[in-house]
Amino acid sequence: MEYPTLENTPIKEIVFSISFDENTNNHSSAERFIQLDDINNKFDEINNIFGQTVKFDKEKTPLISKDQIGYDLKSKHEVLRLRNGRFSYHFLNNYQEFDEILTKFIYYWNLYNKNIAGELNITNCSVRYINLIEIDEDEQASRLVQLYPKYSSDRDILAFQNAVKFQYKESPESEINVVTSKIDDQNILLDITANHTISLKNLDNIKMHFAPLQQLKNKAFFDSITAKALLKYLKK
Amino acid sequence: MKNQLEFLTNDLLLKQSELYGDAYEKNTCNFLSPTYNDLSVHTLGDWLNSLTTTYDLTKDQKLNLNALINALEFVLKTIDPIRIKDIQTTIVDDIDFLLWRETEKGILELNLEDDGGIIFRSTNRESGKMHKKIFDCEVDFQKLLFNFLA
Repeated sequence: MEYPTLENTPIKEIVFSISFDENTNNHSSAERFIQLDDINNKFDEINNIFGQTVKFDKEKTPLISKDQIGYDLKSKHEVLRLRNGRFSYHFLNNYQEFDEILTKFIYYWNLYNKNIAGELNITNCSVRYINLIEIDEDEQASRLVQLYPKYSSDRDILAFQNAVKFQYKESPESEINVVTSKIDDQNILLDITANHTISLKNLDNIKMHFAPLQQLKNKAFFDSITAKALLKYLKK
Repeated sequence: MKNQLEFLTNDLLLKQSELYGDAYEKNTCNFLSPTYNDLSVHTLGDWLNSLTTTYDLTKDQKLNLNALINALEFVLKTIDPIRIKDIQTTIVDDIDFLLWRETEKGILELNLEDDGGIIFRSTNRESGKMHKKIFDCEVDFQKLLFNFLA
């Protein structure tokens, strides 16, 4: 199905992710990846992420230490997150076509995959689109999105978070998560994730696994907004 | 019990947003309070409460479960949250508390025995080969969880 192109898109963050069974940060694979010129020169900030870890012993006082838990690589519009079992690419505050972002994601993933010791067992592919929907007295959440607390003039909705997980019957292999959340008085998030659970040794044809998610996240978006919201975002 | 951790997994995934992770963090604090309802497990504290009220555990099992869930709080920051979604729990032989999960590679089991002992067991799906490790007093719960969630 063809969906209209929104000239005034509410998309603020796009996340493409691959999950896998292996703990890649436990060895030097991630280090090799971030030292590549194509990565090092591309990202302004490369942050080692540390987390507090605790070793428990039933007989002794717990020992608290700080250990590295992954890397965040950041530039103005892009973030690469490397964690045990997950590789994610975040595209921020800017809009690009699905295919353009997928091409970038595949490029980074291939570099990452080449620098990992051993093959990975891929378990999940996902795309997430986070939309920031502005609301005000005239345009309450219930007039813009379909997953909302009912608006009435005699009450103020101070906060809400609603979530629904579903499958489209024509695509039973994929799951969709839609979350709406009021984050402040002026904005709600419409957060849509399309997941494809798989089990594959390495991912040779990534495009094949991500491509169907484009249509699903589009469908979920247009199913989740009202006609009023469509008009609001259709034209600049 | 299968989907008991699904809410928690979803919350953790929402918080991974670069731009709105903090907003989700704040919203979680707004909405969630400890509950004993299986369907409302949003935090590890909820899960611990739910497990200790669902199962009749010994003092040693409760101590180990508490330490395990404390360690899980830290381990969860380093792994893909999707991995905890499939953890299942049961009682074996009327006394041993078992956490287990099925992966593509096989079955992983974490057995908290009634007397405080802990057994980690992995069974390879293809070869049927079993690897078993028994812990008695000194347990590195984080390492144990990394193996269990690998």
